[in-house]
Amino acid sequence: MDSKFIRNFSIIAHIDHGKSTLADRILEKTGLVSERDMRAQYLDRMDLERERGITIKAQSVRIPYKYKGQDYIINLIDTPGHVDFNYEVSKSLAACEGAVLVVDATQGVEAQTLANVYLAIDQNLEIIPVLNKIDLPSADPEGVAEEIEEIIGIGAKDAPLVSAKEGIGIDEVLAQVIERVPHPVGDPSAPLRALIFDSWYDSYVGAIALVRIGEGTIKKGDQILFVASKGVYEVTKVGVFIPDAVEVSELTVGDVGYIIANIKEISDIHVGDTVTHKSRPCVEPYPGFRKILPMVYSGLYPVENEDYGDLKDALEKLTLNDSSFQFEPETSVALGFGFRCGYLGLLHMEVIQERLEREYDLNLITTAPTVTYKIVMKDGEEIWIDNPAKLPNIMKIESIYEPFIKADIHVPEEYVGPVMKLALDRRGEQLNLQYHGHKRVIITYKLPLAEIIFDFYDKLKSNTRGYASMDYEPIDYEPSDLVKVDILVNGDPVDALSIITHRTKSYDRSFALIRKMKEYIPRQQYEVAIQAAIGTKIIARVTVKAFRKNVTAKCYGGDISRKRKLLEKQKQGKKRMKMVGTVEIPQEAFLAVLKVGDE
Amino acid sequence: MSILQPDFKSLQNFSIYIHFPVCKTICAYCDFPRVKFTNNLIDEYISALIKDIRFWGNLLSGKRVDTVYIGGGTPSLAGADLLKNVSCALSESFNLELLQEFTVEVNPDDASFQLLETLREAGVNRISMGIQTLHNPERIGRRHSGEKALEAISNIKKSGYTNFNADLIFGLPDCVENEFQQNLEILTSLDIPHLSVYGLTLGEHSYWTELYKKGQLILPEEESWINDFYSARDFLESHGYSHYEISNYAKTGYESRHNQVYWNLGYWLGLGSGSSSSLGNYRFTMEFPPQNYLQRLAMGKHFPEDIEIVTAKEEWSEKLLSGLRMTAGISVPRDWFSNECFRNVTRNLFNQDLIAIDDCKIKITRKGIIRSDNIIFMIIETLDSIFEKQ
Repeated sequence: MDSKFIRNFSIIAHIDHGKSTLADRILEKTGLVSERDMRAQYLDRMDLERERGITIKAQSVRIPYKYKGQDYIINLIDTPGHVDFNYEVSKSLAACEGAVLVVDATQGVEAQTLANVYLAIDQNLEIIPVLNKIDLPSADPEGVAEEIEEIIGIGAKDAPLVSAKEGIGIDEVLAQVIERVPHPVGDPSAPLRALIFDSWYDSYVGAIALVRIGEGTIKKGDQILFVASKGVYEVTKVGVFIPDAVEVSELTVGDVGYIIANIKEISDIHVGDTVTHKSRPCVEPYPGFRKILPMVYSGLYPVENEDYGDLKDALEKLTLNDSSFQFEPETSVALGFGFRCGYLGLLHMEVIQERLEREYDLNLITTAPTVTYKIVMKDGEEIWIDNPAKLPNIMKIESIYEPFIKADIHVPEEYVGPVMKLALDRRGEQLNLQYHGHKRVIITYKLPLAEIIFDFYDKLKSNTRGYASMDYEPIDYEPSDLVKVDILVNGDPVDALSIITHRTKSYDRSFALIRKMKEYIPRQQYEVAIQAAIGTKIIARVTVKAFRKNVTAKCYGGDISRKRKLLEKQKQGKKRMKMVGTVEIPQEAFLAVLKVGDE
Repeated sequence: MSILQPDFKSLQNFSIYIHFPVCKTICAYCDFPRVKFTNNLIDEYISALIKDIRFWGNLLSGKRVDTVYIGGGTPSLAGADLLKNVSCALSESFNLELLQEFTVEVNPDDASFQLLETLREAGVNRISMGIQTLHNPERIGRRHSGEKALEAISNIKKSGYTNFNADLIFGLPDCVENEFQQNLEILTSLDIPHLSVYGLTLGEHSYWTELYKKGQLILPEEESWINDFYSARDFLESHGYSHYEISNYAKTGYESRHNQVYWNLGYWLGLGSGSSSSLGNYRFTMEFPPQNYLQRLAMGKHFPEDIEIVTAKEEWSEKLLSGLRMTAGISVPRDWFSNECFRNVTRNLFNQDLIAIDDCKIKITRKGIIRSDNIIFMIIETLDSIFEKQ
């Protein structure tokens, strides 16, 4: 089809504002999926995504649509919805000319939406605001439209009034997409230039790349080159999703589709890379390619040692489909054999852990997440560690370098104060402050990655009533005054609990950590001392008292069966504890550091 | 689960518990199944209950009933006439010829001479009364005063009951000095043959639990709790009571027969909203709140939806967790001692003087009793290993 009749767009929405439901309705409208066959929320294919209400892997669908007597192809490109996946979002958006911004008419504009809206605006996408949930009595379309104009600075007077749930206003959304989103522009006979914006693994055909064609044409049998990774492959199939995979003879300007080319591993395909022909490469690849590297590391250990092999198998399966996830074996004195795993961020980590527990039925201990540190030794040697327990003897260390990021925080003027306070508290250095419009501020910070991986984003949101948004990119490693804090349980250091922290914060952080651990470690037969130490110096201590009394006062009639079931549950709970020396430590205690900020 | 018709052919004798889940006021610590009193509810409830009694009487006809216990809630709220109707229905429907004990719980506020008299004539031979404390019981949500409680005790005696119980609670907040000790002294001086002495436990849903979570309720320290527990035991033992279950004390011969059916995991049928039955390996609980129970009966259904059949291992789990509450302990099969896991756990507990072992009988020691939940849990955990081998 002539690219004049193609429209490529994404839907941007805050969690729960109805992105998936709107996507479902659009699919339904176009007759692609009958209502009956439709699983709720077609685009979110993984159960976990559906449960958490977030989209993790992008999906995209080609939709044939007739408008004013003319046939169109509308490509709906899905985007993941979390700051951990910022880079993927930007690449999905780069495959579009427009974006539908769904705003809940009962809730108004929220922070997470903003981060993606600004990404879209940066890429010059046409933004079509849509007011959803207008069927609810608490909907305030006029107020929310004004809010959109004020906060985001885009016109919202003509925003379609939609109830995705009730199927109201869907035609109007599609009409605006066709009227307002620019059609793709390019030369089908120019050298091939296609952007990879997603990939996944299929056990029959290997790794599959999802691309948007900018220029040129690709078909079966072509010799293709991935510009950044330098891989060369022969195309065995090209196709589109409508919404099931359908092979086509070629993909050309404006098309969104998949390429199968005997690519063995998912790690051979990099989101953001450019696909071109080997014999006739394009002059200029797509800009902004970045190899995605894990930013956060943590240990994963089976509670039962004999599950080690199963865990390894499960991790291997997960990496097939997720090239941003890495793992390698490691050993902990306290926890035995396990793996050090690398993730994009905390959400990514939680999703992986949940999938392991749910899909592979594994019982796991996750250790506190950490960043990678660069250690320069006195003898000049440089080493990298992704586990605080591996920090060499302090006497031999010249300096410790930690990763820094550059963060752009978008915030309404009135919340600049709280944001500055938070950033200062997290050792942030302000690089820039700039007004966008008359009420909107972008503050740029240099921040240690270690300070933002835990709860920075949540804090940022809660300190600005949800209005601040953030995106960040890694910049460099710089030396910092860091110390390792060891945690001792009944006098024995537990390597899996060590943390690296800035010296000025070491006391507060340690104390908060062990106080939190105290809440998680159940009282046992003996008193349990939890201490924090820097080197040999104990800097904080709490005690979990031995239980002295534990007795049920009343037990009559039905209490007996109830109590039996309760004990059965307790037994299950005990399975999630790890014996460290003589102390039973529950799973949660290893992650107590994540909860420290809750106080 | 589909509705199961349990088979009670092998059943010889059993006990009956009747739950009356209605209260006029809700005690601050209570999370038992109970609802607030309304007149209509009581009439409707009792007539449905009587229908249920007749159905089960028919189903279990001829089988001997050893004990009956009407508890709550506040059964005395039903008043003399309705309780008499329940009692008549019971004796018409079941074989009560060899009934050993018939207890009704009576609130001190309701313990009029007339009510007690009527109950006695209807066959009731034991009264249980929640006194909790004699010092300002209103502060814990009771509707009686200390004086009223003493008057009730005297009414019970005057109506000719020789067997009765009073409940006491220790570990209450806002106690005056020596409150619990004084309660013990007064009640023992009144020659009450049975005392239930409970350490305050906040259930999940009580009013106080809410306050406690919000930090608005301060409870005594654990140390004082332990001290009260042991001092009550010493005091009562020196006054002729035997400590026969974690929270129960009796003069010789006055141990509650009905409650011992529970702790020995005998058979009992529970009737009324929120009551539970344990008949052989069948377990079921009647619906709560009362509306749900009434609704089912109105549809002519006498079995609740969920009837659980326990396995031998689950049954042992129940036997242990109830049997080890009794100071006399519980006998276990001899071959358990050849199971390594069981042997290790019991030896370890024995070495710490937390349990005593006499031939095949295990009992929790004086030292172990305040940690009995842990001890019982540790022993029950070994069942996995014991039943794995079988």
